[in-house]
Amino acid sequence: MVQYSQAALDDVFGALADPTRRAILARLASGQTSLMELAQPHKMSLVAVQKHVRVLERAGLVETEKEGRVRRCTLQPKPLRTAAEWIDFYQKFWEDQFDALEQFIGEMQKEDPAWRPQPARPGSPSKPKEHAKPRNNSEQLKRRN
Amino acid sequence: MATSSASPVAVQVKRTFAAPRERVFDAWVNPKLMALWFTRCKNAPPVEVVEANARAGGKYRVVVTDDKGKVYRGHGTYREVKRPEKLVFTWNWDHDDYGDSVVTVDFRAMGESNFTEIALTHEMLPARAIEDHRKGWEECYDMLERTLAESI
Repeated sequence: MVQYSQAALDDVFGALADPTRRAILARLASGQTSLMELAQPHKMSLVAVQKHVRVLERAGLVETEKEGRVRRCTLQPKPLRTAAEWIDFYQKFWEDQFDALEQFIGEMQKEDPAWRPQPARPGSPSKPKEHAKPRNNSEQLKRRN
Repeated sequence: MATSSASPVAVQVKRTFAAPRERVFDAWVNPKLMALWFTRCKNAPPVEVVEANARAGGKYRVVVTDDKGKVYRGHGTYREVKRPEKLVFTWNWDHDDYGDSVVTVDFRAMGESNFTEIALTHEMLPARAIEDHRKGWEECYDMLERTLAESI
């Protein structure tokens, strides 16, 4: 798992929290562009867009470079990759946990009938499922024996 | 991506287990049962559950040894314990720098079969990500996916 500082992640998510900044990133995902072009779809002043771009820059999501009179903006996807790595790691982690739980339940079921699913027998009185009180093992064992 | 999640970074896993809900719930909070599967590595000894005080505000701590003898420590705080329906706890590995994240586990009884469906959501919650920004994460996910597809 990649190490990444909490402060840096806070910057990334702070930057992502604003819809205009997300739109700017989405625009940059399709290629490098100038500040002027970024401002157009948002009907915003150049200054306002510049402010947003500065937040994105601080979070490491965007790099800007002056080219003559034009400032070019480029997407830097690395911080997003960290979030994606977190997601990949924990997706696998919990799938593995569920496998382990499944196996554990199988082991318990060999020893203890209380761990086995108990379908309602035909003709047995139906009980409300959501509000059924938890029964302890010994009671259940008695019922089965 | 459609999601009701409030966090930009979250994982969701769902599975049905062939066991009654009370038993499945207890496997998550009873230290003796937890030790046999929770965070346990394959082919490794049981996890040492140092504490698991399963009530709102209570703590848990686990010491995990992998099959090569390497030791990892995890800890967190229970936020909600509603047997046998719902469990919410914070999650933290000591060895990484991701900070607190929150795990919500919903246990649903599957009608007559007495099976249990578990729906788990694990959300990363950096301080600023949870400032009142409840809308628009779908956009964010889409953007994230697009960006990653292009950059990897």
